[in-house]
Amino acid sequence: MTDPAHAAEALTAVSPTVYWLATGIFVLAYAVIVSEKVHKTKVALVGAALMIGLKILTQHEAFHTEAFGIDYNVIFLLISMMIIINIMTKSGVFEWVAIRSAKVAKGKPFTIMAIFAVFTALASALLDNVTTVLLLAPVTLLIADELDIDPIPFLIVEALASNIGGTATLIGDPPNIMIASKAKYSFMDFIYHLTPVVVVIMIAFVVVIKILFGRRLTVAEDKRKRVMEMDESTLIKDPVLMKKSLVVMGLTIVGFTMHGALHLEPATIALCGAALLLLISGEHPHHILAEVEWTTIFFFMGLFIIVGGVVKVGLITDLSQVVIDLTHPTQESMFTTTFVMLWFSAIASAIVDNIPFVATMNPLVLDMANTIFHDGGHSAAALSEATLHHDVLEPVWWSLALGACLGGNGSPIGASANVIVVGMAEKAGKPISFVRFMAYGFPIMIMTLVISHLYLYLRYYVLHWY
Amino acid sequence: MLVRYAMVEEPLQVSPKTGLRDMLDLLLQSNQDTVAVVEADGRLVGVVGAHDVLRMIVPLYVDMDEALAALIHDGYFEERFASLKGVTAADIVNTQVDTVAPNNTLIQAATLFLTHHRHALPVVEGGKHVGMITRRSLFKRVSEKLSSNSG
Repeated sequence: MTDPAHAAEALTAVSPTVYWLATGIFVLAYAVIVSEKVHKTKVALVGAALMIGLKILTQHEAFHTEAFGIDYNVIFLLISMMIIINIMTKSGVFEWVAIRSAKVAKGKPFTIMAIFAVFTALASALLDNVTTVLLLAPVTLLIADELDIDPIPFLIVEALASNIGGTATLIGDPPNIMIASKAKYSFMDFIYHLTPVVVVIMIAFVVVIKILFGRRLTVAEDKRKRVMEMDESTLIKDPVLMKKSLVVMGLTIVGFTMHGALHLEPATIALCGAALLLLISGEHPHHILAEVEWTTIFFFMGLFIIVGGVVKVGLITDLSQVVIDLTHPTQESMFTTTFVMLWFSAIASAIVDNIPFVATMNPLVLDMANTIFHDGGHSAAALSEATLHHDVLEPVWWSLALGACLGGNGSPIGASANVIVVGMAEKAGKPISFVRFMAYGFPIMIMTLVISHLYLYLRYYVLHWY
Repeated sequence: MLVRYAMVEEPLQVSPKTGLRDMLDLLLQSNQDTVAVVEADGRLVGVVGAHDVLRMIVPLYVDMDEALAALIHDGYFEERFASLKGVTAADIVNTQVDTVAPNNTLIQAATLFLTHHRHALPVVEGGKHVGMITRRSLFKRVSEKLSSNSG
């Protein structure tokens, strides 16, 4: 199946047994992950163990190579941000801002919904989507309770907004972190290429929710007064720690904007921030590190190894050939590829977890670039930045990012933030059915994709603004 | 000493259909803080204590973030409590209870009080509810025993 032009890709000529073994592990692992019959971290680790144990990959390849192994750029960026965010959120500052903004809105329900949507999107661009929703949900429930209105529309809006906001930056959503690492894009590249369309999408989103919910939300003066009388200063438990963590977070963001110029990877910047905050916070590392989401981290690690295995045996090359045959990318244009990528990624992301999807698509795009630009002659994992950021290839990366991040809104299982909100609604005694969530999420997802589609077309194919 | 000798003299018990109001009256008139909820055939369903009533009053979001309790308006507790009018024992009974047998020792009961944060343990024999041992009845009986030993 591996044609001679791609022989340079697989390090050794792989026997059919090894090829099918690796493919089998890959397909089985993904199938079990999608079915949710077994916890995905367990699956990822078993899959990884098999890849190495059955000698499809060597341990060296799994642990120490960029081509086939764990992407430590992603791992350390995730861990470091978790540490910073963990300490920062303990201070109560997010809840403080939320109550403050509810007061700025004078307790008017729709204004609060709009402000919370924007706040969620902004926070989600810097923090992960799940943490953002987990922070804002209790405050949302409190305010809805005090105003005596249904909290469910607010929670759904927050889940959707968090997925949209997270699309805007390198650190906002794991697919972006993974794409940045493989495609060697910087924090500022994401600001230049994705933030503009996300801003437009958010404006459209707020208009849509106004149409959907604006009329239903009216509250009497006496209830609104309850919100105005809330004393949010009681929420800041540790003002000193709050200031320290905000300063470090600020410095880390500044570091991100400069990391390209400094020739440092984002993970390094985040590591510096986390280390600094741990040092000055006076907290014992044990407590902070205990709250890092190791289940997620190990899931990533296992996943990288599983994908590395199928990259090595050439399955990814074969899949990329299928994409090439179907969408006809050339050195002059990858028009069809870009738009198919946008919509396919979105649908896939609405149905399954976008992380395994992007983990597979990244090497696939690299392989495709290697084939189109170098006839498969180079190593896909070691393409130059000139190739990776070639004007013709560029839109493909951004369409992958947009599709994978925005697609999550399409269903209640499409994104972790959605799952959290549905779970919370159930606990609060007001369950959101699958259909009800989709009734809001799916059309909104389509809207965000249409805007993205137009953006990609106008920016890269009309204005040629790379 | 065995649990059977340190049980409450007049244990409180109600049927699952008993209303919240009646249950509270029962508790407030006695000096106990937990009621056993028992079926007609003597089977234990669970217990109801102040903890379980509070569970129904304190909102979910305070569980998630206790600092938010400070922001809730004055009068909330009374309003929520009033809204529990139609609640029955079956609605709030805590079925995840630790129970003891009459022949268990006092140290076994004491361990459950401490490690599981219990105030009262239903005593069950042959699948039937036969009484209750509380922290109070435990100490009362042991103090009596010690005074009578030394006296």
